[in-house]
Amino acid sequence: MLKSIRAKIMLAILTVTMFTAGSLTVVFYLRAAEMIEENYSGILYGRMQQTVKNLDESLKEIYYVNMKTAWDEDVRNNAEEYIRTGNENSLENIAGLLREYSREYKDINSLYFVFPDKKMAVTSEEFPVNKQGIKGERIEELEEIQERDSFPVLVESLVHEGSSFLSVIQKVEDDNGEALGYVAADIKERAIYYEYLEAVNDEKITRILLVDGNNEIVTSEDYSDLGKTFPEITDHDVPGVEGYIEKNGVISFFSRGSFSDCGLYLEVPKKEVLSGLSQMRLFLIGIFGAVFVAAVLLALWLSRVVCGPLRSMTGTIEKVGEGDLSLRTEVTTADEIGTLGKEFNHMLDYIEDLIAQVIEEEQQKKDAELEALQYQITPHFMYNTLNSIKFAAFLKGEKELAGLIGDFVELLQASINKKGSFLSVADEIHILKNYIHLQDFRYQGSFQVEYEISEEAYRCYIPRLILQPLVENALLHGIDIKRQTGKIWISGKVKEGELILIVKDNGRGMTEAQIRDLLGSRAKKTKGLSAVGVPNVKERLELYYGEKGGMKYDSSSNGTIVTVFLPAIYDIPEEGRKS
Amino acid sequence: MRKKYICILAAVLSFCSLSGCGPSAKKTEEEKVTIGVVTKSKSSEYWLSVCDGMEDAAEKYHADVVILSPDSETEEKVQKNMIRDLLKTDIQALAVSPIDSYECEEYVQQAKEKGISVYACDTPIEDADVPYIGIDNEKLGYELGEQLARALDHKGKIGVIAGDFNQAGHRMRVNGFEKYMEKEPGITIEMVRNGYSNMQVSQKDVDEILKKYPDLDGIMTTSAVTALGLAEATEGREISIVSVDAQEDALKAVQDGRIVALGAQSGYQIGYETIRYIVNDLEGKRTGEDEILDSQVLTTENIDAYIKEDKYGSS
Repeated sequence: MLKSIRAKIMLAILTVTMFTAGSLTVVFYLRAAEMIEENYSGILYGRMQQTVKNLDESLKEIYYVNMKTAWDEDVRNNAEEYIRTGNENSLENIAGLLREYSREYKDINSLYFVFPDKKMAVTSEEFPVNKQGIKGERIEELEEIQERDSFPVLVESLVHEGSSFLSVIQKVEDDNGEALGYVAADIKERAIYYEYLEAVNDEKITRILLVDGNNEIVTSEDYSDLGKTFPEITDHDVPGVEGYIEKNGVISFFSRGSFSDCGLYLEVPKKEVLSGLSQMRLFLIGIFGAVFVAAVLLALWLSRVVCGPLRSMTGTIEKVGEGDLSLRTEVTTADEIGTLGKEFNHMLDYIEDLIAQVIEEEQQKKDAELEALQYQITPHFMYNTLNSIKFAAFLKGEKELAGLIGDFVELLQASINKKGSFLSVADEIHILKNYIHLQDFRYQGSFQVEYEISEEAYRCYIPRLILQPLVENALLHGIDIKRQTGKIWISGKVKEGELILIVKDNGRGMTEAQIRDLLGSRAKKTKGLSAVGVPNVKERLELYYGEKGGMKYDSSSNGTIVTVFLPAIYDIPEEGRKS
Repeated sequence: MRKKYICILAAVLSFCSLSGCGPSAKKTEEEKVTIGVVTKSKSSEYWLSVCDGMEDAAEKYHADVVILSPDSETEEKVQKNMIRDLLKTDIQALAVSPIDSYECEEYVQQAKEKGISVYACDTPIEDADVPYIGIDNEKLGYELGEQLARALDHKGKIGVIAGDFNQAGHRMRVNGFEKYMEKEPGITIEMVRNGYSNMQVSQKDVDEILKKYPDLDGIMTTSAVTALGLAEATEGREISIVSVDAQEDALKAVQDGRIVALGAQSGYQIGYETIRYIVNDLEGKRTGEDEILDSQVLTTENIDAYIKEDKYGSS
């Protein structure tokens, strides 16, 4: 899938970076959200508890006021008086006292004295001062509540029909324990709301309400909640006793006052609490994006740093693979790749040395071979002796014999001469003529030789003993000596920088197989002038000139043409070097 | 090898999910015990410090305390009404400082029927078997007698102006005082008056007493408020006063020498220990025994050290 190391490195860097950044971002965000939620909840809950405590204190004060009213001697005496005599003045006195008491605490809406038997109440209010004709069941209800709850509960007012108030009710007894009536204090619903609930309320809170000890809703931001019971009105989980709980995205808070048993309930949607986090979310996404861009750039840079040397080495290896051993990879780092490059370069150096060594050895081997071949030729002794014989024959008047011996000596001289492997074509032809003269003497003029060498060709240098073996071969295998009609043509010319030497005969020709045998034979030559045979000629031409030098046999029943071609060189070439 | 990496990755992921989606906002307090308290009064410094001690202990021991207080120590009926009101609620324990130690049987019985344990705090309940948390009043009275005798050089005439004897504490203090005075042949108790409480000893009463007993050398009162009123009324006369209740102005009076000796009971300590005792009791570490707290007699010699210590100690 990923073909290059660089892509893999980039992917690895990006994966690690983005995984880390992503994890950190997510963890950080969630943790922040949790902390914000926890802080908000804790603070709100603390405020709530304080509010409930304040409310509790306030309700306690109202309880005290109510208690004081109930135990007030004047109230009691006037009540007794009224019950006994029905004196209206007593009621007025009570109303006056009630008014005084109701002013003792600001949140008291109405303080009233109920005469159960008379089904009427005296109030602290301007209107109605006396509330007549209270229904019997309402009074029974009041008595019942008083028996059950002495602390504030939600009660439908006896004075203001149809509206309910958080009230404290106290029984008033005479000295014998007989009930004279009840004193009740109503607390303004709005007063509670504005003084206590509003103090906690903020724009995040979606529901806020206060319930009494019987879980009836006393006051709420939402008027329609009034008169309902708790916790039925809410779909959300309500904390069991005290505290706060989060479910379905809503945090519910609940706290009850220990004195009044009134409970404050709040609902806050979690997303409201976390609304401040949307900014943070954007910020985090921004950071994430920035990190991504930085990571990409970093990955590009790092992968280039890491893979650059690798890539340059790969390129070098490819080129070396194509055969260019002279190239070396550039080592720029000191790490493993650097070591690899260095070692690779060493390897190339070594290979080059090896190759040079092989070439050198080959050359030395070839030279040794040539030298050995040359040493096979007849030694000086023979040449000196023959020279003495030649002079003896000349002195005795045997001129022809002396000429023959002279030719033979020259031939030997040329063969033995170790000074240089190269001769000019003219010298080669001279040696060849010596040889042919000797052979002519041997075969008594049974063949003829024709020379056709251009001037330019005469001046060329060629490896020695190139033509002699060819002529020898023509004499030995080509020409029919007995028929005395044999003819050999030797020509040399230069054409386009190439020297072409041709030895042609009109002999019986050679078959393909014979030519192959002749050229392929590695057997040592035992006949002829020297050990240098035709295969040796071919070999030397190839050794000296490579592809530029060579020989070719064309043979038919009319004779054989041997063509030798080699570069035309006009100076003596340096020994052992390819031109 | 690959398995190992997968394991590490899984561990990292699970760590992330744990720390991220851990428990969200949730705080639910355990159900607390609710202790109802009815004190004698809310108007004196002593009672404020009792309430303070109770609230501190309630916070420490995770209890809810509902404290009701009549206006003054004379409102016996109001106190009973409050006790009755409290018994209607869901309290588990009731601590009372009875205005009348001998009229408690009814509500103690009522509480018992409802399974509410009752405790007497500061002042013992005498007509029912109820644990008492407070000082040894008799011993304190005895010690005050010692101090007064020393101040008078073991001779002279003295009087006792005591709080309401219906409050056993006052009676015990006088008992202890009288018990000591039996040992002092040179000192005679000219008069013992009781029924005074708080500021109820009026100038008229003092004048009347001083008129009736013009040669009193020393007076013992069972509450500091009375002693302070008395000290004011007898200014310029050589009368040694001993009293009870370590409230700020009384301490000052001790420093000034207007009060010879002051029996100190720490309201804070009584309030605190009461709640601690009740919580322990409700948890089942029931002893049923009274918890007698230390009291101290303060004179000019140790008053400075006490004030210093008290400032750091209780409040």
